[in-house]
Amino acid sequence: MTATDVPAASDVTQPGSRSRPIEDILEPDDVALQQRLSVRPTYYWAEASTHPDKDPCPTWCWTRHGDDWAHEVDEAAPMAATHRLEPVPTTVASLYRGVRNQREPSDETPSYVETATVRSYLEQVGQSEPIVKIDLSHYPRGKYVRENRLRLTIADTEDLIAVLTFLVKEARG
Amino acid sequence: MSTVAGYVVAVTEPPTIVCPEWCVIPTSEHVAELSNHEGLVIHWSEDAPIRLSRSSYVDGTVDPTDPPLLHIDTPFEAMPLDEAEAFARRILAAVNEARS
Repeated sequence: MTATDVPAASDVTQPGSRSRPIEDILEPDDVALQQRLSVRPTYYWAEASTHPDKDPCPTWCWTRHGDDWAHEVDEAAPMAATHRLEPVPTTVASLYRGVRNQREPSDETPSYVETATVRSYLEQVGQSEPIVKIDLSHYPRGKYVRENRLRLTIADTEDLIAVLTFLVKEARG
Repeated sequence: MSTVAGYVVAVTEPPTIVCPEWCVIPTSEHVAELSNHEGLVIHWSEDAPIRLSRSSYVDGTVDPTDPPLLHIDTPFEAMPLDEAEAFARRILAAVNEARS
C-alpha cells in the first residue's frame, strides 16, 4: 500500500453509524498528526465498512454481492482482508448425529433438523494464494464439535466432491 | 435388493479370502479378524488420508447391509488450489473403487 492509499482516519466508520468517526476513540491531535505525516491509522472499527486493505478483492469474494457485504477487520491480520466465497453449500455427513432447532412455544415456524455437515471454504487473506479448508461439524451428545476426520458414505462423498470442484472452479475463474 | 444368506462355521483350515483389488490387508490378518466380525471380512484400501472400507463374505460377496465407507482425514492446514484439486481427484478415485 502506498502513502496515497492511506485511508484518512475519518473515512473509517462503522456500519449503521456511518457518521461515527474513529476520532471517537483517539485524541484529535493524534489523528491530525497521523494524517499530516500520511501514516496509516492504528485503530479501525472492527465492523468497518471501509477496510484498511485497499487491494482489489478476487472476483469470487463475497463482497461482489453489494455494499452490505463488507470485510470485517480481523485482529489476527488487521491490515489484510479475508476474502471468502459465499454462499457455499454445506454437505451431508449422514453417519453422524444431527441437531433439532430449539423453538419457543410461541414460534410458529415448524421444527427442523440439521444434519451433521461437511463445511468447505474458499478463502484468501489479502493477496496471498487462495486456500481451501474442509471440516466436519456435528453434535455428539448434543454438543457442537468440529473435526477434520470424516467418515462418509458414497453419497456423502459425492456431494463433497461436487462442492470441492465448485470451489476450485470459482477460484480459477 | 436380494439378500445373501450368511453362514458362520468352524473350520480346521484357514478359509480362502477373496479381496477386491484395492484391499491392502494381508490375508492372515483377515483370517485372524473373522471371529471379531461375525465371519465377515473388512477390506481396507491404502493408508490415510483417504481410505475406503467395505465388508464382504469370505468369498468376496459384498455384504448388502453394510455399505462401503470413505474415511477421510482432511489436512489441519488449509490446502492451496492445486492440492485441493488433487484431493478431490483422490476422493473420486476412491468412490470409483467402491463402485467397482
